[in-house]
Amino acid sequence: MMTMKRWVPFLALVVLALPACAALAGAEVVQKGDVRVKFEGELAPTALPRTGQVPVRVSVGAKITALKAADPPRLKRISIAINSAGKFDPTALPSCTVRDIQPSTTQNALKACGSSLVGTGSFAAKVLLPQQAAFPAGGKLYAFNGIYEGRPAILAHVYGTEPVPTSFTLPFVITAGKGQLGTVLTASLAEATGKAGYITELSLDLGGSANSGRSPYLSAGCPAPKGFGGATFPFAKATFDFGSTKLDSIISRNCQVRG
Amino acid sequence: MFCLGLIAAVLSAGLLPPTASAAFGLLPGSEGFSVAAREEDGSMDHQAGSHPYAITTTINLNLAGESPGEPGVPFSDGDLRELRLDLPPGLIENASVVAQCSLAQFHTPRSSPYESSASGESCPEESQVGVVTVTSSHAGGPRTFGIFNLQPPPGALSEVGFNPYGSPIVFIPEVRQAEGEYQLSQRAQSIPQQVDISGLRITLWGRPGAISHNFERGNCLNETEPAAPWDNGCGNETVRRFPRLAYLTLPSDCSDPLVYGVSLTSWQQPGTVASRLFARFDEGEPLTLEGCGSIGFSPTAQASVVNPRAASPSGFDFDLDVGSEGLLQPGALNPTAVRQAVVALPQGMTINPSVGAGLLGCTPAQYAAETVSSAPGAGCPNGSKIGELTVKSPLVEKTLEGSVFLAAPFENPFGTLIGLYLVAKSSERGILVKIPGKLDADPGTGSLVATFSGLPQLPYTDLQIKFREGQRSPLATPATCSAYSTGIALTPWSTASAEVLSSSPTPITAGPGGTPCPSGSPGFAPNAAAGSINPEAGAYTPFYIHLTRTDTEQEITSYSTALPPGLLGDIVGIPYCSDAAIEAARRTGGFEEQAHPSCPADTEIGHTVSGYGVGPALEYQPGGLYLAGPYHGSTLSIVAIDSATVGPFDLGTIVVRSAIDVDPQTAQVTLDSTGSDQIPHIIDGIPIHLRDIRVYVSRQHFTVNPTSCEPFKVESTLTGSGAGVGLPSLQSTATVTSPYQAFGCASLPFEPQLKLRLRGGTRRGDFPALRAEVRPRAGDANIGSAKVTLPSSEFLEQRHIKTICTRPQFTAEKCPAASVYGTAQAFSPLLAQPLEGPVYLRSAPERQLPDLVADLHGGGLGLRIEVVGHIDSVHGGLRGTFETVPDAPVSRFVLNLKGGKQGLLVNSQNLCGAEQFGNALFVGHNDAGISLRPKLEVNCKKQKKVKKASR
Repeated sequence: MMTMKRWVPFLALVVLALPACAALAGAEVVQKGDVRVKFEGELAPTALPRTGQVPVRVSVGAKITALKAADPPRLKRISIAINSAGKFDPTALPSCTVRDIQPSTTQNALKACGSSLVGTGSFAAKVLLPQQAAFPAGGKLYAFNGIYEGRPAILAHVYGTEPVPTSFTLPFVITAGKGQLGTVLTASLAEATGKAGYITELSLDLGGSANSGRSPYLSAGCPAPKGFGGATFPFAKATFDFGSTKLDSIISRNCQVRG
Repeated sequence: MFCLGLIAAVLSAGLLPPTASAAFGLLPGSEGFSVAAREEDGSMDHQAGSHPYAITTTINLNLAGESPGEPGVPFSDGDLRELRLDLPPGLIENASVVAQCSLAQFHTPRSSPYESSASGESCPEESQVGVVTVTSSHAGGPRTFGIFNLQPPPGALSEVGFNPYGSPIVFIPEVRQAEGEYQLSQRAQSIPQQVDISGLRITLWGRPGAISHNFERGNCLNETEPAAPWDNGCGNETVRRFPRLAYLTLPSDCSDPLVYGVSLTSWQQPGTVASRLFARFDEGEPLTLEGCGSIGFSPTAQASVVNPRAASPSGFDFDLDVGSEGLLQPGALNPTAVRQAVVALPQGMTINPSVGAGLLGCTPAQYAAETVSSAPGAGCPNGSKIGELTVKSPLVEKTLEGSVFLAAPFENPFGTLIGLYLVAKSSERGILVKIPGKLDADPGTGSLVATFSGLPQLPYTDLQIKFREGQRSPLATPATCSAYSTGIALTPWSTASAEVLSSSPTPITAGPGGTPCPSGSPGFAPNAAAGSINPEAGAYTPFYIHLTRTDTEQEITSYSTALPPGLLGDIVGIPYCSDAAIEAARRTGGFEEQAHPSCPADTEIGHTVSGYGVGPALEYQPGGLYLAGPYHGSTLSIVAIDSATVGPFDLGTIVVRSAIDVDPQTAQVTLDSTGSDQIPHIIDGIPIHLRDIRVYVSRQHFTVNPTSCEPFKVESTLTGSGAGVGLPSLQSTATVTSPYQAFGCASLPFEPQLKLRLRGGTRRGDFPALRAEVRPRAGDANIGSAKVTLPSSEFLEQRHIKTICTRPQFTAEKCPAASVYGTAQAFSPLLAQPLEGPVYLRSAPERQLPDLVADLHGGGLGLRIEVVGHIDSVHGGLRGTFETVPDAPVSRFVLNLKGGKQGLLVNSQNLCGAEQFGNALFVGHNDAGISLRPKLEVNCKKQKKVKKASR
């Protein structure tokens, strides 16, 4: 199991050298061919200590649209790289497995893994069964701290009853790499949703509260250089892999030095 | 008609071998028998239709020798007993122009002032029609006597006679029909033996009133020397003037020579007949009459329909007036008689099948039994009489009356389907005229042409034929109004080239029953009535369909019928009438089919009654209704076999086999016209005018009513043919509906049972197989719809939905194997075998999820029924909704869905933790509903064993 207990210092210069075109706030829209992806993310709070970490909440979301075609291309894989100033601590909460929550209703998933809940979100997709017209499906998403294939992961569980009761779980595997955006969440959608699902929207709002005496699941500091009251830094980079098409989107955010 | 070649061959030798014994008979050659028609100057009369001055017949018998005690007086070898003279066809002796000699006068010996007469009569001079010279053994040699027109006895047309030596000899005419022609014969019977005749020379005067005969008339006749008449006032024209009317008339046929015949018997050998034919020859060729071209022929004919209303039964009148000018005038030629009459009835006037009820055909034997004295019905049966006829002839005072009989089909002189016999008689005058005629019906249109050939060369002035009128008239008028006409072609005996063609207006001026004339193409708006005899919901009942049309509408050529949903047949145990038997029925005669139906009795499911004809009275014929096998792509069929018999007419059978279609969604039964035989419009030239179709599905415990009391309808689509039968462009269709509704649905119970069972893994994430079993109770209303909801423990595993059958694939029964997700079976008490088949996921573009469809086949019939379930959810439970279930009795329905990797279900929780219950709502076709909460049966034993083992 990978542990992520060390701080990854922010590289302020690199941060400052980011292209000015990077969004300072709001959403990043990228387009390639017929595919347009709107990627957004937020960090809260934005007042962070220059040194040390405090619990934070990180929100990321993506919306996929097709400019011409009726249906967007099928998203096969998504990876979200988060600035290394942020830290996931999977040991902060109990771990669940996919088998614990899949398939199940939300109620049963929470019943099985409620103590591992690290966030919520939403999910929307188009379901396109063979010979059938596409129909929308979606629901609330519950993210659990878990283990997937031996690696730390966020298990995003979706349950819906329309048009029929069904559930699936997206395992976002967490890997820590080097570099500024070294914390990467990767999910393979094809396996979870089958061939019928075409994801159109996905949002995650992560940040569990720390159990007493234990470190928070997600914490961060403000990577402002000395002498600066704040910093603008690359917050997250999302890669959307549609098979033949791959789009990247980076969003930057600001933080102020607290205290 | 005599054969000219035969005559030439036999008569060219001038003699015929006598058929009697060598002892009694005629002298050889013309010495024994000869006839000559001569003009007043003695020359031969060859002019056809003329009135000869006299016709002389000479008969001389074989002589046996001299009379005992009277040397030089020969006597015949046998005493003449009967003598018959056969005149050529068309030779007329018109006794009506001559006064009659009474019986008393004929038997009162003549008292002459000039001689001692040997004649036993004292007939008035004006009754004399000729003289006869008798050669006998009486002393004095041959002696000449007068021949007189006698008062005929009852049953005789006329009578002539002479009374030599007080021994009366009378000739009574007979009208004989030989070789299709009418001949007059003069027959003398019981000739007194004491006359001892050895020779006769009979001279009949063609113009008895001629002054030149005055010297041979009455007492003026010198019996021993007729050439030397008593001249004492005999030539006084002023005193002795007689009507100058023609008594004899030669035929008007120049095609054949005049052939006379004689036959005679003796008292000694009454069973031996001596006979002889005679014709005149010129250089070896038989002489025929001449001058036929100069004979007048101007007949008038008229035809009319009795009921000039369209599409109606009608009588038909035909009048023919030949005229008799010239028959009586000695110097004129007699108009030729009609040899052949061809009458083409108006286009569209056809045989009316309504005539069939009680109609019989006159057989050849019955026709032969029609004699001058036969009572009505003793010959042709009264049931074969379809009309009447009258004939007026100058030969007789009273009008001849007779009947038109229908000849037995094919057993008539023409071997045709339709034949007629005209029979006119006068028992008072011994006249019998029998004329066969044929009626040809156009096989395509039914138009009729009547042909009467070989009409008698007898003078008649007015021939009237009236075909029966009324509801059972033999004829049906055309369907529309028009200025129709009857075509008439009359061919004279004189020469075929003198054929007279005429057209007699035969208009149709009103519609049936006096309604306005139907105009344009006939309409088509048939009526229908249908229903169950017992309307109780779910009950066995006879079922009927009654289709009718009016006379002015188009003919029905096909029909299809959609029965109300739920009206079904219990075919368990009913065999099919084989294709071979059905084909045999098509070739079978109608009467034979009635006596011995082609299809076995156990295949019969009902019967039909079909009404044919026009007008208020139809001819109804029964038929059988049978169950049959696959036909025109359908797996089942019914065949109606009707006997096409109309009275004596056997038109065969009408076999209409209809494919039965069963709607896969509703099990609604339809008789589809596209897969059915056409109803024939016309058979052998007789339009059947099918106007009334009654179909009774009457087999016991066969037809089952719906269990729905919704107001349904029986919808029948009929195809009609317009004026041009068989032309698609003139065909039209009409859809007629008849309301149908069962009753008593509320009293039908409805308590089906449902079992749900999962097999396979019971843990969360397992993919179990599902078995759902529905058991309706016998006698309940049938299930109309069903909603079955599984407990929330079962999710749909979308990832296992890999292949879905498309609608076209499903229709073509070519669903991919991978689209099979289960199997289903349905058992029905109406079917010998269960329906069974795969369960597919079938595309349903109108819904979010594909349908779950059980594609059921079989039932022992190759039926196909699809049970469609829509998939959705309610309260978190997976639901299958079967909106439309056929209204058919089902004893058990089983649905099996696969489990494992092909399973559509996935457990969202451990099934052995707590009991799971589904929900079901069944609604019967009677609108009764029932909610069930079936327990989801699972097998937890295995899991418990595993748990125990892990402990």
